[in-house]
Amino acid sequence: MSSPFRLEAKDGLSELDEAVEYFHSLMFDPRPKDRLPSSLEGNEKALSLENAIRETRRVLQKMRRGEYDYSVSTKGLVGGLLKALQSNLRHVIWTARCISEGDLSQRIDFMGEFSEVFNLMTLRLAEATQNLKEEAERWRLALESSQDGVWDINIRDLDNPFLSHNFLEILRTPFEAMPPIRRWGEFIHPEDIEALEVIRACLDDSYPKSTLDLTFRVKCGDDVFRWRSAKGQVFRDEAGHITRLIGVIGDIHARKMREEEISRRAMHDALTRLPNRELFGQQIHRMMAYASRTGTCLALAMLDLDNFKQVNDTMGHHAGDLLMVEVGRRLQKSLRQSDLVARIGGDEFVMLLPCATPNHEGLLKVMERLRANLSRPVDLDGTPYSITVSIGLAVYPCDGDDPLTLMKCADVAMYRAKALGRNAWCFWNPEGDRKEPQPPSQV
Amino acid sequence: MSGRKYAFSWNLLGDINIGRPHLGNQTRVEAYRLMQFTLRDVIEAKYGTEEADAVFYAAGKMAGQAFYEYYLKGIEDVGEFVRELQAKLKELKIGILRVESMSEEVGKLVLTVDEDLDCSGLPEIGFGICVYDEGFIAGILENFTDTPYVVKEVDCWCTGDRTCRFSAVRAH
Ligand SMILES: [Zn+2]
Repeated sequence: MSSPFRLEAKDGLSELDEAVEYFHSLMFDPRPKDRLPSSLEGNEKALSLENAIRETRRVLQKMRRGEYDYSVSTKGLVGGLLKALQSNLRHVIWTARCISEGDLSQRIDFMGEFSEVFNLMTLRLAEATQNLKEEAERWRLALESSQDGVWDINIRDLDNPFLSHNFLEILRTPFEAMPPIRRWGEFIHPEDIEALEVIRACLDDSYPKSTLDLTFRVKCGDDVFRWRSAKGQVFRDEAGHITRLIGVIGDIHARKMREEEISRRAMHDALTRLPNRELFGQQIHRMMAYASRTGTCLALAMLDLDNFKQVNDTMGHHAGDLLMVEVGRRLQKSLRQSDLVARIGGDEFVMLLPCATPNHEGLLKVMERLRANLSRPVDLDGTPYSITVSIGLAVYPCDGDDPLTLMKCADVAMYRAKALGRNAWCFWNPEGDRKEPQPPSQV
Repeated sequence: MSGRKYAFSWNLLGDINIGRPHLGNQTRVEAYRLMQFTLRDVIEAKYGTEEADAVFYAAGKMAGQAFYEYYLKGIEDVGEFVRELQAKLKELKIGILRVESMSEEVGKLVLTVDEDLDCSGLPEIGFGICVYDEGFIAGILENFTDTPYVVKEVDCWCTGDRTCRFSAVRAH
């Protein structure tokens, strides 16, 4: 229901009011009237004003959408400002692109607070990049000056590990020749079970710890096994799956060799280079356990040089040493690979001889061979010297089932051989020898 | 050409510090424009509009080349070149340079110079007047890339655009 008064007012709109209403709508309405009022047709200024407002609307809407490729035909202040704005924004895009391509020296001026924060951001980025570069350089230098090699393995990208120059040097393998990581286990010495299992577990995602620390032998590029060490960190994702392994590899071969030599010396007699009492003690346990497992026997022969003291007294300690070395050599020559001979005292040797049964016949053959080998005179600095030995034998498990008992039995048997006039061997005889033998000095 | 009286060289700009102990190294934009516009007037009157424009383009180019030799020579990186050019134009108060776009290998460029020394604030006269600037930009680009450019002012304060926009295209 429209009032007659309003109707009259509308009818009474002047041409000016009509023009104002049209441009008002053009400026403020989302959907403005689409035609100039007929009264303004042919009015040049009205036409250019209409074009300017329509163009401004279009350009602002484009800018609102992030499009800056508009063209502006409107002249004067507003058109000029739109162009300047466009120029600034397009320049920002160009500058940002330069920065994205690594040119961190670009700056933007005359855009007020935006310039300030943009330039500050770029400056920070340049600083951070510089710091990263310096850090990378420091790492590179540290890596190069360190003897250790670095490995960095992304579990999800096993084909592209980072292996430092030293890593490859330590393995004596060029990068191209490195086997795929899944096959690294094949290059670990089969006896180094811990290393093998850790490698497998890491690749299977079943390794439970967050660090690893291994020593192992690895087959290097020249097909020689060498001792190496590896220490590393295990990284996991939020679900606990292993994602990355990073650490160092070291060359510990020389150190291991030195340690082995020291331990060899600790376990061997310096004069004859035969196993000493220490190593003998270890081996008798091992060989007894083996015999027990396989239901076989182990003979223990205690051997003493007859009248050795005489050699020392009449010909000197040097001659005694020469004799001892030669006896050791001949004993070793008389035995099989699986046998063991050790020097456990001044002129005392002990032998361990695995055998299938407690068959004295078989052992007698060995003793014969021993005697034959020992009977040839030994050349002591030009003086031929003939030696004889007394031997006592006991067999595990029938004569004794622990090392100490077995040794006592063999010892008693040996003293019986000496009592028989030396240059003889005797088996432990449970009837003839006492079941509880006394220490040798009291026999 | 022998017998030249005014052959340009950067030295001819003189030692301004010594020469102007009190007034210093600054002048008013009016002074610069007064000189340029009167000169242009006389040249046009004597030789025609086309010739006047050609003279101004050539002079601008000579200035651009000298400007390059003095301030920008030796720069190889495009980004660094633009940055230095912007800095120098700002320092000498010639204008605010914006790069709107740049094609691969600087084959095509759109630049704007805001607050241009030659034309900003001039009355709208319906045509661009920054012919000297066109030559100036061409001279700089030519020396930087060692190839000739065609530079055209597409918007000018004087055409009512209130910012000077130049398109530069490498000439083949
Ligand atoms: Zn201009």
